[in-house]
Amino acid sequence: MARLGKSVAVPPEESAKAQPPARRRQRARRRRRAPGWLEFMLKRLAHLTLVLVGVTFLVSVMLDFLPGDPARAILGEDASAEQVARLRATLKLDEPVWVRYADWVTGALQGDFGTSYRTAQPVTEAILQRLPVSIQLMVFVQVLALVMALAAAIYGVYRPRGLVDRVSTGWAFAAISTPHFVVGLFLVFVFAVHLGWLPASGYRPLGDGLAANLQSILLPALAMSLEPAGVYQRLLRNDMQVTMREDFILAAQAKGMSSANILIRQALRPSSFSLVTLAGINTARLIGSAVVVETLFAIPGLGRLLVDSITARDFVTIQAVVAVIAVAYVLVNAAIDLLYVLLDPRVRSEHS
Amino acid sequence: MSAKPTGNPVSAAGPAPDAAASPATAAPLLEVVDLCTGFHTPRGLVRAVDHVSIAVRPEETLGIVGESGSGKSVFARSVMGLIAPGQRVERTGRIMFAGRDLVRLPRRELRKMWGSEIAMVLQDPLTSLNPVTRIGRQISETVRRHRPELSRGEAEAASVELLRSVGIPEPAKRMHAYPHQLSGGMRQRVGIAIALAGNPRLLFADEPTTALDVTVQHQILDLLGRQQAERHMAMVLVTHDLGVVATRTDRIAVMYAGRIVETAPTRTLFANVMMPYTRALLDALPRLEEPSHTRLNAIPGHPPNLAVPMPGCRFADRCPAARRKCREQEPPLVQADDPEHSYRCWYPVGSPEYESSAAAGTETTERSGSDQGAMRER
Amino acid sequence: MNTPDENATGGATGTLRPASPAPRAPGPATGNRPVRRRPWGMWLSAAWIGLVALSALLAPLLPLPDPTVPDYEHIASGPVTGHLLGTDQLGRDMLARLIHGARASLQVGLVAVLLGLSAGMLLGLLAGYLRGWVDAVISAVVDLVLAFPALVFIMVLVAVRGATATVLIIGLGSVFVPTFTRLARANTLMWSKREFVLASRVLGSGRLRTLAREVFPNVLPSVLAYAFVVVAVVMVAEGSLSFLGFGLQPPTPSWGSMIAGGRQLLSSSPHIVALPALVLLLTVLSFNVIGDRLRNKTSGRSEVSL
Repeated sequence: MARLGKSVAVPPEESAKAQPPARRRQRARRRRRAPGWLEFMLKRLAHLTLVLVGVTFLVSVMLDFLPGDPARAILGEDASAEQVARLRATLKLDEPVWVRYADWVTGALQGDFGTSYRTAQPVTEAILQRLPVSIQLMVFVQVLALVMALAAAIYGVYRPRGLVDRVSTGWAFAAISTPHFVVGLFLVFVFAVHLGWLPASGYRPLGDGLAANLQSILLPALAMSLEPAGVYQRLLRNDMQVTMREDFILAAQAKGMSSANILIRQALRPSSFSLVTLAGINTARLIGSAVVVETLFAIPGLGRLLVDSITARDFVTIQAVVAVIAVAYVLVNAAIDLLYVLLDPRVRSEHS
Repeated sequence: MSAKPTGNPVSAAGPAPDAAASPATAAPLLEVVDLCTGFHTPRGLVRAVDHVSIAVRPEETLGIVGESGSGKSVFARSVMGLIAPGQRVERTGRIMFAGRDLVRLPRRELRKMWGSEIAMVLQDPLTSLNPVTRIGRQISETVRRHRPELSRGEAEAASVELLRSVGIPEPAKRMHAYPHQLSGGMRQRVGIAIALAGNPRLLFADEPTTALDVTVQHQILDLLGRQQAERHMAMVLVTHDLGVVATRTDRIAVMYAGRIVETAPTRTLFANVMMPYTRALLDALPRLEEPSHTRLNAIPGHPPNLAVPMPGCRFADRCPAARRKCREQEPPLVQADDPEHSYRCWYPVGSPEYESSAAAGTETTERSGSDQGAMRER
Repeated sequence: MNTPDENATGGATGTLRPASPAPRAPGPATGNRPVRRRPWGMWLSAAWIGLVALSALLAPLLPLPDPTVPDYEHIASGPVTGHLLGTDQLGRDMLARLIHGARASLQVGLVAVLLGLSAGMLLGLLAGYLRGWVDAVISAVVDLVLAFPALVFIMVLVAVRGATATVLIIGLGSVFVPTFTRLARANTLMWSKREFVLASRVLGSGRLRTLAREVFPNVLPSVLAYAFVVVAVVMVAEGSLSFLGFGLQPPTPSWGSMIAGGRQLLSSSPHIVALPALVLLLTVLSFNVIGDRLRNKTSGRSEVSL
């Protein structure tokens, strides 16, 4: 992220000077745009595919080291050696890792992740049940975090070292230092145990009504969003302060724009590049650490599924869930790359 | 300090001797009296502008010249009241503009004047345009800010017209360009168009050509001059380059270490330089008749540290003719032969003390000038 | 991600920005910085970490009850004689458990970070200095590992190898290798271009020798400064693992499992959760405060994504 942020923050001044007259350059740009653009996306795609393959293979290898015999785990202690051997053959447990991996990929590409040892439920089905819950939680967390961070950071830049700025900066520090489950327990203590406003745990799907659904998701989302909110606030406040010292902000003031216009329309977008990148990286990280909050609030998301599968050594499910998380990481990061291009016109011409 | 009556002919003229007010012409549009601008830093108060008084008449062009760090840019910004947020700034004095004192004006009121009464063109057009916003929006949002009654379409039409007026070819097409897609000269034209969008009465041009190629510099200066005449604006041209202001200003004020050290009508100044610092700036100009590889005759040494108050003339350390008196007592601003010409020096150019010292010091000055490029601006 | 104060005040343009009114003043222009304050936060943090570390070290010598033995007369009680901070849901002494829990948390946090730092530093130095295919391979692996959910990796590891301190240390340590690799690589890239490094090469010093003698000592401070922040992150991770039951196994006390254990009694005896939560929070906060300050002080790039 630092890499991208830097290259964008400092436009190459020398090259700007050496540029040919604008008209000629524009024509050249139009001619070259499509292939350059395509090449960039293809490169990203190749990279992302590589990451995906690497991660899933890594899981396969890792799971291979799991002690215990899955076949015996499925059949139970009473099964005969012959039965176990037969099941091992069906599950291809005696084959080398890479053969099983190839099989798994073939299945996965067709949407078949196998069947859970633990629940005998098709893994694809289990994941599809839980994925919407996880996605909803993640969207809530990110929106809450970004809203809090934006408000605090923008006001902090508007009145630097004022009361709001000091409080929010200190608060951000505390938020960064507090584990999700501690925040969660604190929220449960205050809002569920003491005030009784919100349920302490459990998840109500949208089918139970919007209000019930929102009530059940609010505390977990809040518990998870404070920490990223603190991180975002610090980052955005720093970047915005740097932007506020730019000439174009001075120029915007000199041309008579209002404070609100300067903060939101002029300064925010050029300051948001690292924030966007970080938010993207965080999405994947949060999917992983949602395990804790999902456990605490008994939310049937992917994290919960993962913990249960690990405990039961249900590696068919583990592998699928990790793959889903990796896909999410890859997709989010691809989306961020695109967003980047939308946010900063300079990146657009760099790639063309 | 500067205004202390010392029995000099100018100080009798009124409380604002620096203003060199001329009763012959119209009342000044901008009258700055005793302006001080200081920054609070961990090392104490830094007075970047120190008791500066000056006036700009309607439609007049004033040049403010000085090295980097002389306070000329801070002067321009503090007249407008444009200081970066978060800065702890102290500003005293009076800035009379159109009958109002800008120093005491509430910020809300002041902001209304930015762009519509007083506008500014900044040095580097690449950094002074928002890199992520199309040119068109940057202009039209300014137009709409100053003429809120316009519809979006009307504002865009007005913006295209502005771009055309500053000499941008195919203005309608350029509206969709981003700053980095334009050349430096084009960008500065856009910057000027934005500054003109509110039809200001006074335009500050802060080093408007320093970041540009020499060939483009002239075009931009010509454009500024033309626009000024057409719109009957007054203009303050801030620069480190005496050559830039020589042919394009009515009056020049030379600043050094936060002070005005010499001010005169342009013609008078070039004909009759009094202050050794101005002399040095003139000598530092590259000359056409000399071969291009001739070493620039830079002024040796550096401007003083403004955080540390010093007695005496601020230029004394670098002045070829400095005497004991120069280091002990600060010279007041005194009037020269021309009543509009005043300077701040005990032993001005032409005085026997200066001539004898300067003649003796020429050689050492040139030698030490090479290792400290004090005149570099960028 | 940017630590902007240093490079922003200089300004890229030649104009005199208000930020640097006195161009000839010694040192970088600091007009935009708040007037320097005493680093109270820093000292308080250091004192707190000192206290926690000292009590953890001296835990066996302190006159404390056994942290694993329940006192059936006082279950989930508040402060009473003999139990300064009360007892937990099984009647075990809170203070003793907090202090012994500090041993686990600090040990795991510090050793894991040391492990991650050493490995990451080595990889980052090599990648940033040798460039070429070494850099390509290392960067690719780092990218790959960053895409892998860290907590999941450790949980699987724990499921495989059991929840011992060694497993936790290796798991947490290896999860943070990529972070340190990126940081060390970025700094190495920066320092390798400096003139004194080039000079050392020109003067005939070998590549690895230059790396060890000229680059490494300059990269180290920013990486070390960052290590404090990572200690904080590792402690949170360790707490989360313990909370989930994948940390050190009972009866060994750890802050995370203490918090998890007290959950059921949150309404009646909130102190069982509150005390370890507070201690964990303060310790993590202290590491963050120190790390943040050190990062601002070190030159070089201290920004990197976790």
